[in-house]
Amino acid sequence: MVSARHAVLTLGIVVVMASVLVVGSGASWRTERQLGAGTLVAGRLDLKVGGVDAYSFTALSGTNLAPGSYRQAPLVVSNAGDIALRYRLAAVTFGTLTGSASYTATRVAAAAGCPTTGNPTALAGSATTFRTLVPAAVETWCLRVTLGPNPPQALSGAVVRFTYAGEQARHAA
Amino acid sequence: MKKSTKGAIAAGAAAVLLVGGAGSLAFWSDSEGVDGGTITSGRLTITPAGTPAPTWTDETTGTAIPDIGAFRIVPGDSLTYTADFVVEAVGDNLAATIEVDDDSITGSPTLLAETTQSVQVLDGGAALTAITEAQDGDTVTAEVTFTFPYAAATNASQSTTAALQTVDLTGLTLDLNQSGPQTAP
Repeated sequence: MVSARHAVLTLGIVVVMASVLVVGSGASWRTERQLGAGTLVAGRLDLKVGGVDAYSFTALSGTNLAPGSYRQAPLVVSNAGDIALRYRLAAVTFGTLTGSASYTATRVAAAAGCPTTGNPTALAGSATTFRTLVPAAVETWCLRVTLGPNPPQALSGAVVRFTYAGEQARHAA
Repeated sequence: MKKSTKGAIAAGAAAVLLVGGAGSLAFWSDSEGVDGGTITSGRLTITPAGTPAPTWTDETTGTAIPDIGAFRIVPGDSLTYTADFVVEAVGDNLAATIEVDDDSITGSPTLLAETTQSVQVLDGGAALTAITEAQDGDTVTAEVTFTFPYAAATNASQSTTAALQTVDLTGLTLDLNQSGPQTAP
């Protein structure tokens, strides 16, 4: 019994000593210095078509279109963010006109270069290849949708969808 | 107990008392002072050098960023804040490390979660693993690098026209912690 008490007392002393040692190791010197390094701000990537994110391109709409006819109108693509971006025409879908229509996209200097009829005043550049836009920069494209020789008759509500995709230009592959 | 036994015990006790009493009077003793010198503690401080002024660098291009508040970070960016400090490190076995105090960095939770930072300390262009007395009086350079890796990035960390996503470094703090006794090379 006595030896058991000694064991308890000894254990108690060891524990206390260990605690003191742990506390002691936390008392090393420490100093600090505030730098005041300013603020990092994340960029904003914002590609607009026709000034908005989802543009209803009514200028391309038409009725009673005959085979081989086309509709043509300018579309402004802009960088509304605060970082440089690169963009391209990523996809074009024709809905119920699939196989019965085609498109062309021609870069022009301004809307005036894209009359409703006749060939646009073309500038160099492919719509499907990435192009860089710095903040606030705009580019104008002349889009033309042409019906094929044998489009469906009495078709109504066909939707052609152009999808432009943008991504950060910095660090772009 | 027999009387003779009691008598023997009493005599023994008396003898012990006599011996004890005799000891307190009869031993010679002497003492001398020893000059052990003075123990002096060291110091551990860092002070901004002031010159050159701290700078920001875009690691992608290697160019200076004149106004970090006007810079817009994007995924893939790595920016370094460079500041010089004068070190006071006095202590024969002193060793200390410099770390960024993570709690001193605040800002937008999403952007904070997607960025990381690290610090490197240079003395004369050579990277240090610890500050020791060898750096006492030296001007060392702390390079705090902030990285915005692709893997962590989401569109949610973008700024919007309504609100900027920021990492506030106005309270950025470097901790200089004694890391233990300097180990022999």
